[in-house]
Amino acid sequence: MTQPRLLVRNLSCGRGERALFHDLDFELRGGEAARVRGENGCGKTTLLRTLAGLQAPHAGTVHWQSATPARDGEPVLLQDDLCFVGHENALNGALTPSENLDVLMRLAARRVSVRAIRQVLAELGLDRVAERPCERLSAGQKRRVSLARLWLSEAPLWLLDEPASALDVESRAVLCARIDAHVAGGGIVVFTTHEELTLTHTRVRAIELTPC
Amino acid sequence: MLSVFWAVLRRDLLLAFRQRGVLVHHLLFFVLVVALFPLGTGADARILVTVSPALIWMAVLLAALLSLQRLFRPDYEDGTLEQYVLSPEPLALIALAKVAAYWLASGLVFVMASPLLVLLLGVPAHAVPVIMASLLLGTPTLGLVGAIGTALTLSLPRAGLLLSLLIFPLYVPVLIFGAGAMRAAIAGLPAAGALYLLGALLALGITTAPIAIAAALKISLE
Repeated sequence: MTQPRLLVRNLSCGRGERALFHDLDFELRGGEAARVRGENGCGKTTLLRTLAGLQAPHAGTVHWQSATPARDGEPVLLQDDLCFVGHENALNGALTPSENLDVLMRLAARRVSVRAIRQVLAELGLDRVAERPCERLSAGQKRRVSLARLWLSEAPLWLLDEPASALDVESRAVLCARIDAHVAGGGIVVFTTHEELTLTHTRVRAIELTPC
Repeated sequence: MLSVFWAVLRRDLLLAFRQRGVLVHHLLFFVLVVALFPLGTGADARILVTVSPALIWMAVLLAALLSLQRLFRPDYEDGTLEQYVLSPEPLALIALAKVAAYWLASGLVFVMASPLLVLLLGVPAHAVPVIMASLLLGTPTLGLVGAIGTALTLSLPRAGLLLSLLIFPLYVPVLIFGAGAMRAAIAGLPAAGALYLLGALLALGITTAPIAIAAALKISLE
């Protein structure tokens, strides 16, 4: 497989009609991580959603790998190369963590055994709550269940929107170690965060968003 | 590709089972609408038999409208919908699985409850098989068409009224042929024509509605 590469040219995004930022350029290759910076409401989540292909940019292009570049202002869908952990956890409250993860992995077209899911949940210290409905978990536990996808996925590109929200110090360290390992293995991570994430082995580039 | 269909179907059926209280509410609503109607018409049994096709179908339409609002809403709110859209699997197939699970957990229950209700209204027993067949063919179409409306109104905070304005006109063909089949059956006439048309509408719905639902879901997420 070729080295993963995410190329963003002249990207302008917004919510509806309202423009949020203009002419963003950056390039990330396998083994690089980037943190999106900017004040509240400047479009960090919008940028991640645009990179994921959930919404169309106002102008500009997102290229992934050597795939044919999308036309100007069109969303690209990265599909099986992408693991997107959004603002919401994508967990249904009436299902248990393992049931939720099982469906999420099938949606990502990954066949993961129940044993593998159990193992990851145990690694994250969630084995005691693995069979409890998600609505009875704490905010931090739910976030950890949602992040468990990072251990199960094999996607080269991770887009993480506030991955560390509601996490305690130990879980944050575990998350950082996982991001380090992914980047060391040639993956790409783009994330936003308010909490400081100390990545020991990864040099994190900054993508500054300046409101227009 | 089919594995995602079964996975989503299983998930939604499991959810319907875990939240079966909701299902009971919808069924009770359906039963109450039909049961309250005779209280207003008086004791003339012939009137009840005459209006029973319209009554049953209106009750089904209202119950469908009520239950459809929850079809994509939880997934939209908890972020699962984003994962559906980002999935490498076809979104239309995921949408079809969701509607199938929805129908199994609500439409099919209405079909099961209908014989008791029509007999309660004094409809002759020989009409019951056709009535069940018409509901069996008609209710999935209601689910498929309604799902397009729900998907379109997903990003609006209070979508209930708009949803009914959007989808009720589209329910007209199902209402006409569904009630038509029931009327014919009650009168002892052949109802096959109306049933065939209901079947044709269902085939059209299964093949085209998922594509429209998928497009509507993508618009709602933007």
